[in-house]
Amino acid sequence: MCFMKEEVLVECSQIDKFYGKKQALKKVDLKLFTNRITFLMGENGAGKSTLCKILALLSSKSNGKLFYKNTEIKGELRAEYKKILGYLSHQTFIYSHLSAWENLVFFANLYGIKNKKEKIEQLMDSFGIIENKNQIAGTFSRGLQQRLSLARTLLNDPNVLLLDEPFAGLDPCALNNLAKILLDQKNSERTILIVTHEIDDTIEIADNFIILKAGEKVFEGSFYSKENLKEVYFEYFGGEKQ
Amino acid sequence: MNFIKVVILVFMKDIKDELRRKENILSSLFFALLSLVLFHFSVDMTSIDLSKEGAGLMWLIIIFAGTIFIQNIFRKEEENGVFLALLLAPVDRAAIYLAKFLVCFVFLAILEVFLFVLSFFFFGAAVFDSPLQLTVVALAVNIGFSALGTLISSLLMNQKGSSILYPLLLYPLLFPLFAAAATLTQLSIKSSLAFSDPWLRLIILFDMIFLGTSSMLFESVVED
Repeated sequence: MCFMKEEVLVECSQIDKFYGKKQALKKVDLKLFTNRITFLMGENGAGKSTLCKILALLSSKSNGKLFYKNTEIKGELRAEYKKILGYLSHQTFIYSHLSAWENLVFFANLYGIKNKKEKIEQLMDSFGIIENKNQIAGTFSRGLQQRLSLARTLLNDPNVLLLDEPFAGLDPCALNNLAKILLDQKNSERTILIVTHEIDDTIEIADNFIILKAGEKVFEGSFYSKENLKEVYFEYFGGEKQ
Repeated sequence: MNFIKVVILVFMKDIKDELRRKENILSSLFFALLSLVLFHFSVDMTSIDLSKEGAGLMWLIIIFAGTIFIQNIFRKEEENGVFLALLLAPVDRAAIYLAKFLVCFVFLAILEVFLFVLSFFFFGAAVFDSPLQLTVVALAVNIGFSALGTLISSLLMNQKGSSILYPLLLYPLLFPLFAAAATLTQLSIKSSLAFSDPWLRLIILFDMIFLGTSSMLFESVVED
């Protein structure tokens, strides 16, 4: 049996976030490990996306600290951390008037990627969009756009993948494909955080779960089945199991 | 990545994007053309006299037609949330601002050439009597207009009612710039514009303040 090495890559400690007087996050602690997929769950407005954006340095925190490999992320480390970061959401982050190829070349240039042509061709090939490379991205189907978006996210070989509702709006086939891709990514020494509020078959790829309620972390651990997760989830949110 | 390279990269991407989507460029140019024709008939001028009220009218068209283009310079980045992808990149965010500023600057220059050439051919405006002085005035105004317009466009990104708020925030701040522009245009047509003119100094001061502070403020404007 083969055990993969797990180490804490990203950590946040005592994170608070205020929007005016409203507190969106309350003293949240979180550790993300290599070779693990962590699901961040909670009802709407629980602070999941806010936390994800803070981890992606897209939003500032009001209090608390962020660490990458046990070093606080500030100053020059911010730029270094951004280089190893991949962020994906239900929005595709692609320019709809540029072709798939032009989109990827633009972002590859922004990240200063060497051998970008080979890298882009390899990613497009592995995601099955090489034949659409000259097609304008705005004309892609939702599934194809999500694949292009994922290719963009993986351009810089990120060690940390932060995915905010990546399964939203995908048909079952595209959803299954994305889940497979994420499992492959996990096995390539990546740290993956997935924000979701849905309890569906995709939870089978998770190694760890964190549940937020009104900005507070109320649960961290793993489950042996979907039913088991539902029981705990609805205990916190007062809904009924289906 | 090198600051200048990022500016060029984002600038080129934006130019390509604008040329393909066409809507901002065409609606702005069409508005300018329509305004020119309407002013011509309503004022019943046989020719546009840029040394008098014509200068004010010309800048009025530029401010409104320019606004149509500039207010969308960041709004188009809301599409597919792509602005977040720009912010995620390990690049200096001021470079993104500067690239957008340059796109607006170039567009305003094209708009002015379009307007001046049309007014010369159709209404006999004396725009080619002192082209150098007029160019200096136009370029100086473009810097201030683009700097402020781009910053406010980024401020109002993802805001509800941004198309109403945009002119409300922009026009009062632009007032000194365009008052100076109209006066300087009149002077440049009469070939009596001195480069030590207080109105020109006002425009240069305006440009320096807004281009400098906007590049510095941009990082905090887009933070949340």
